[in-house]
Amino acid sequence: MTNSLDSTPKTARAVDGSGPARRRSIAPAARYLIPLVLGVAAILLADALGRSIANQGTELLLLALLALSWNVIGGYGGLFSLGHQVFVGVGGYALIVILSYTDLPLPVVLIAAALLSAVTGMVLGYPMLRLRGPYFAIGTLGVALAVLAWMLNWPFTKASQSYPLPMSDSLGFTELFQLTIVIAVLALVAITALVSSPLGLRLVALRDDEHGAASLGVRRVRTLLPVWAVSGFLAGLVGALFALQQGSLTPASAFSIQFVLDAIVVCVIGGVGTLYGPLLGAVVVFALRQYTADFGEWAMLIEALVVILVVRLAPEGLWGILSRTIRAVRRGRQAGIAPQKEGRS
Amino acid sequence: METKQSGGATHTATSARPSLIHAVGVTKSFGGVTAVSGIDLDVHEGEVVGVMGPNGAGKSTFLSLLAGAQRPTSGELVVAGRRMRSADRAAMARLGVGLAHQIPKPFRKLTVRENVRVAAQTAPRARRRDLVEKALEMSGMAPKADSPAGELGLLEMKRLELARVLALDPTLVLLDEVAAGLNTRDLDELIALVALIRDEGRTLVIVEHVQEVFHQLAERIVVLEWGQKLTEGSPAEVAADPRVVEIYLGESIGAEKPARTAPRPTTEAPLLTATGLTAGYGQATVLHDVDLELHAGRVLAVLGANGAGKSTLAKSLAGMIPIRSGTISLEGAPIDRLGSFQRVRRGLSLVPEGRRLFADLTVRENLELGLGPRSAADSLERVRTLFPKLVELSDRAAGALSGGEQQMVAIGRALASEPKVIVFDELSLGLAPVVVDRLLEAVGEIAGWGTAVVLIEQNVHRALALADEALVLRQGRVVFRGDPGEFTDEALRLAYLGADL
Repeated sequence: MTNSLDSTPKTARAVDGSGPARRRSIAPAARYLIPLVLGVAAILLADALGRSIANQGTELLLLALLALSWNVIGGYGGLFSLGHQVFVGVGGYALIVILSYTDLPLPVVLIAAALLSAVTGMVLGYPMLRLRGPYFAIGTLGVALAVLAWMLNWPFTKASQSYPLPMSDSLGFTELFQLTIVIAVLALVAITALVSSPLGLRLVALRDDEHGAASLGVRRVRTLLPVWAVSGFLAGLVGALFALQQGSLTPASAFSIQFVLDAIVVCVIGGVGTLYGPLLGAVVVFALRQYTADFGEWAMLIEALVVILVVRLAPEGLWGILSRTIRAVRRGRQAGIAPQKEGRS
Repeated sequence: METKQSGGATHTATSARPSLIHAVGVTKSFGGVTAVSGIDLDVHEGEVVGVMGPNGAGKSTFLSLLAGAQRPTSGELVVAGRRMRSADRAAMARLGVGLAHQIPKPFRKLTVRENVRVAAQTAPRARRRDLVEKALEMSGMAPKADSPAGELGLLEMKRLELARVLALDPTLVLLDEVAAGLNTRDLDELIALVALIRDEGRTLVIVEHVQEVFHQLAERIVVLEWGQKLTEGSPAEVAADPRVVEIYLGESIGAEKPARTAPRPTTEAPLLTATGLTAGYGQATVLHDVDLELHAGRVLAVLGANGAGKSTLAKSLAGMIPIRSGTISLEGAPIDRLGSFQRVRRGLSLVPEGRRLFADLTVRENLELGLGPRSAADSLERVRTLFPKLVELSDRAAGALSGGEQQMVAIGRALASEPKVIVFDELSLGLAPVVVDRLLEAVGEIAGWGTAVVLIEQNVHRALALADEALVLRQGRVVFRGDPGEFTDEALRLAYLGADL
């Protein structure tokens, strides 16, 4: 019945033949295996790298992790959060406070800190996720500013003074880098699983057409809340690792709006709502910042210019260009030549 | 959860079955406008009920109340056991109420199968896969299951819309003008699909302009007018009711009015010329090598099946999409490099498909936004003379108007810029015949002012009756161009069904 819609058998065959193949351009298993293999390789390599490179590697991965976290809700969910620094700050302070008061092993504390950040997300998300579009962005920004004001005055976390990480718990540059690699790889695997899960499908459906999704039984807050919590968990991990890297936190450093701005810039440059865009974007932004480090205030101008150029020339981001090119080449090879030959033979 | 079973006293044969919809005095107002007023209706399991009425009668609003998209202002409404006191689409979908929208909006970045999977998630995990595959199979979308939904044609999108509804495993299926915009052959396919859904024992409520759908499917028809229930009965009863004939068809029964007065001589230079026009989207070339010429005061009807490239032609003339090659000139000066706003300033206006009004602005504001450098002091006066109804609607929000009224505003907005050429894209889509009559009459008057008209229209016979020239597209190429009188049924069949028939 449907074939009668296609004007010629040739086009019908082209669609049938190339469609599924294109969708599975990265086979499911490889999407999990490649990051794992690369991760193990990087951990092994890390020993050979110097301390300064390891530290830079940590910074790069933290930027990437933060962007991955924002991308889950901002890219796949279409909710433009301006409040992710709350998660970073809660994760960071939670790690330092727990380490200061207990003797729990570091992995447990890391998970506890991230969980606390996720719970914060659930509590804040319940009212926030009822907001839409610009109201959500403003709402989350407002919450972030309120939390910052609170932290600057809370004696328990030493108010605006610096809160140091206990000396006994600090990690070497290489160890921290390796830990960050492990977390980054697990985060990527978790996000890959999330976006291809039924929950991820509902999330994208909500983003593309909220009413349409609701007509198909998708409940908005119930879908967004767990995703928002996952995003908070990951950003909390970034905060905890950031605390380990810095050795001490102040409210101004841990709850800085710069975190969420960085995440957005990285996602926009790499590709909002794509799996690997944030990674690519983090590499580009990090490299750019390294090269322009000596330019002083000009560095910000250059970065802004790059963002504007990407938004103007490649709204899907660099990953969008890359995957489109790969697809075009592949289609040229498969559909462009093969089906015509098929049709004649 | 118990619903009353006795409401529809007139239908003793069906009242033994449980009632899926129970409405008593259901009213819905938007601000000062009452869209649905005091409707009583009972629909029992397994029934197929049609809802008809002229544009603005409240059909779509009533359907949106049933689907939980809106909350009734007053009255008692129970659907699938849920008392409709608040709007909650998702809850209704989970209770097995599926709404197929008039304009399908699939999740464009997802594949067809993923689109359907979203709906299947209301079912228990074990049944989901079966539901998805069955919905794809039944709707005929299985061969396209892995294509991105954004690349589908209109009929396929409508099939996908139905497939998504089917994957909810609905007990109650609400169809909102699913036949709108389809040509005859596509329509038959769609009706066959809806009949399949009915044969599975699902209850259907069908809102439709296309009468054929009712005759083939509905057991009972409810006629709405101005938000109220005018009458209710079998298709034959309703068709025989003189009141129905009057409100629904209006004067259009005598629609065989003579063709427009003899076209003007065309000795002067053409106003609008296009040569070798080629355009498309992404990798697809939709329009191939189209030539046209149009003189002042003449009407050019552009015809063709769905996907023939009619709207693409309108958009490329108006500058909404760039052309790949060819030229477009207005009064001899090339305009194909100009942006659409510049073309409006030169005197080429578009009445876009779907009207594209500023829904939150008033009618007056919408019209004033159409004013441009070419407008004169009395430009809007001319519009008000053409559509006197717009005077009384001046201060209403454009979004609250009926489809026909909105189309009048859209035409008025385009006319406000005093165009030399006006392009109508799908003028009558989704509008009741009586409204279409009025609009086409207006098109004739506009041409009478000396404006050149490009009319893109689904309704072939009406368009031909009005046109001075016809241009027929098939798969993006011109297959006929000339006097509509010479455009025979043979040529029509060729254009719509293909040469191989």
